[in-house]
Amino acid sequence: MLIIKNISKRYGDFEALKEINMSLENGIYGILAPNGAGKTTLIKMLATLINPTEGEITYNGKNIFQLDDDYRDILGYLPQQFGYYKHYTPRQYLTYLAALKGISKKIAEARTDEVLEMVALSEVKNKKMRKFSGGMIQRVGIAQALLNDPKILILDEPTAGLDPKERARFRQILSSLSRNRIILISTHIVSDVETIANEIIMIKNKHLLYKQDVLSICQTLEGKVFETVIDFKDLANFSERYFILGERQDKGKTMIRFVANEENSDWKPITPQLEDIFLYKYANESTSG
Amino acid sequence: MKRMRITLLELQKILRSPVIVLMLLVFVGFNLFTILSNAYMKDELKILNQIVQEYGLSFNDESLKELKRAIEQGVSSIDHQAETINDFFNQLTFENYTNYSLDDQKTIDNLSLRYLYYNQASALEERYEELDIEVIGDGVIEKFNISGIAEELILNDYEKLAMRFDEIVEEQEYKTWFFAGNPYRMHSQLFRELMSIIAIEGVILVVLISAFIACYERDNRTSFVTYSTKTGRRLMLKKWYASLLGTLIVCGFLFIVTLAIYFTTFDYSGLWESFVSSGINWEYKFPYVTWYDFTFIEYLGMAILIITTTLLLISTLTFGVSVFIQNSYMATVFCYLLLVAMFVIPSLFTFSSLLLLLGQFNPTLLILNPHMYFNGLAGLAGSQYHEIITLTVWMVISMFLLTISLKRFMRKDLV
Repeated sequence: MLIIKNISKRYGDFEALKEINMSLENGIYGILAPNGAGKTTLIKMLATLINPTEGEITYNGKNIFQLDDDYRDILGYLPQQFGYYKHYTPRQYLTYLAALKGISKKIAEARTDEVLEMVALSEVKNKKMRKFSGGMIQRVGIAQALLNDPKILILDEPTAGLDPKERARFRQILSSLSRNRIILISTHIVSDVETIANEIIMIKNKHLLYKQDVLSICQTLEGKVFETVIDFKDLANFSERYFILGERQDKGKTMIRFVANEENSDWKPITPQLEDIFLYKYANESTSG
Repeated sequence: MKRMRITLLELQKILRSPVIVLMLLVFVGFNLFTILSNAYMKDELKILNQIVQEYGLSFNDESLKELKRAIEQGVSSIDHQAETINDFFNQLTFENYTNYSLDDQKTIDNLSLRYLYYNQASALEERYEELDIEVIGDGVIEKFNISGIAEELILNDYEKLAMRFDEIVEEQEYKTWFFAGNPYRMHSQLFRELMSIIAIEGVILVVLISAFIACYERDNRTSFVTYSTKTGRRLMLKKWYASLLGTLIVCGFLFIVTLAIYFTTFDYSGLWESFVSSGINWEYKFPYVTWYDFTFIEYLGMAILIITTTLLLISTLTFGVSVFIQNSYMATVFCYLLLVAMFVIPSLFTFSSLLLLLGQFNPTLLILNPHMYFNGLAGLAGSQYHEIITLTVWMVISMFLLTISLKRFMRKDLV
């Protein structure tokens, strides 16, 4: 079990994370937060790249920084900006990383082929990566994270650059892996985690906002999300009173989806989706990257 | 080999770098050009190997007499009227010379070179008698205006050097054949020019290699992936090993290829065991008075060892700086400037004799002066243990800096 105890991180006067507490067991966790909320800082701490200013992270009761290489031995990590050696082939790069991960030469070869097969890169495993598309590079990144069959798999924006088909395949891979490991996926694309995550972690203003399953989080807006059709000219007035989640123009009318704390017979109540919670909770915050 | 796996993979990154490979080839090409530009005298130099074969590596009055007799016989076989060797060569104008057949011209060339060696060898005793090492020491003190502790240290060194000089004379160490210092200056050509060039090329490559490999992950934006693996930040230590190995391979390549070309061009076959302190090797104002009785091959080996060790410590120093700065361009420029500063700064210490003396113990001067290694008459840098002290002190400094840098790197946040 991975336990995050009262973690804070400060850079001088700037506070990146404040008093985060949570425990993670086997399963998939989706971290949803806009840019700057502190999710990458948290993830880098879990990858032992950043030291917490306060608090500690333990794995099976031992501090991960003291466990040192024993902890990193069971860790697979895909950073947000995945770097690679342009003049290497995926096979060469993974063979190198296998050595860093302490995988013996004999096993490394078979395991490299296995993970490249998983991410559908077998055909190009001996081609230089400099000619690869963004999606292919991202798949190399996913492959390297899986290389040591990690007990803790941390993926920071793993679907960036992947097309819808690749995303679906990626979700399928994760689902099949989640049974006996902790998988942490940081993303701002709600659909990446909505269907596969056991729990969603939301961070806001450096604090932990939620760590619950999708249903429980969606229930927080139960009975408050509606749909209605209004004239386009009324939209400005409407958005001043209610929080607009989405709008669609149709035959001169505007179909809107919004949050309201009151009911109206003209409005159709609908079941809140995770994306609604995300948009509502992070109103006025950037959600890019 | 299993333990070396990561180090060897890091080494692969160095050796696959096109910049380093290209520079290595350019440097070898330049060295080839330098050697070949002096190759015009290679045939003349072969005469000495014949002399060594005929009369032995050491010379004495008896062997010199034999040499002279042989030259006289050679002269009279060409010109029956010449009474002495001097007469023959004095009357030998260009016109006279061209009147001889080509075979005779070759014999005359051979004899004149033998006569040059004979003259130099027979004048040595007198020249060595005229040398007073302690007076030379006083001259150094006066020239650099040295006083206080530094003066005492230098005088003490010259006192010891005088004893060593007496030993050279007594043991007849100076009476071994070597290429004539004047006019050929082969010691300078090999050590001052070629070895120094190799050393400077080595510095350029070694600084590049160390900065390149230390900052490789940051430059390729792969730090987060590599340092979160099981090996983690200990990878940096393996990178240091790789940079040392890279230094040895690159310098080994430079030394082997360059020296192979050099010794193929110039025939040293009879001279490997000749002493560097040979009086025939006297090139400039003073002869080479080495602290130890190094033969040529031993001196060559020591020069390679000193240059390689200096490059290893420069590699360590650069690596330490690169880990600290984590920017290969800045680290490279910083280290080049540091090494240039080590050359310039000692000359600014004219206000303090001790600082001026201590300033001589720096790796840049070792790189620039391979011809002066272990030479007691190397001015302020002539102390008996100059090379050993310089290497030891700077090795400690560079290891200290590297340790601090690595410790900091192990703890720091990678953002």
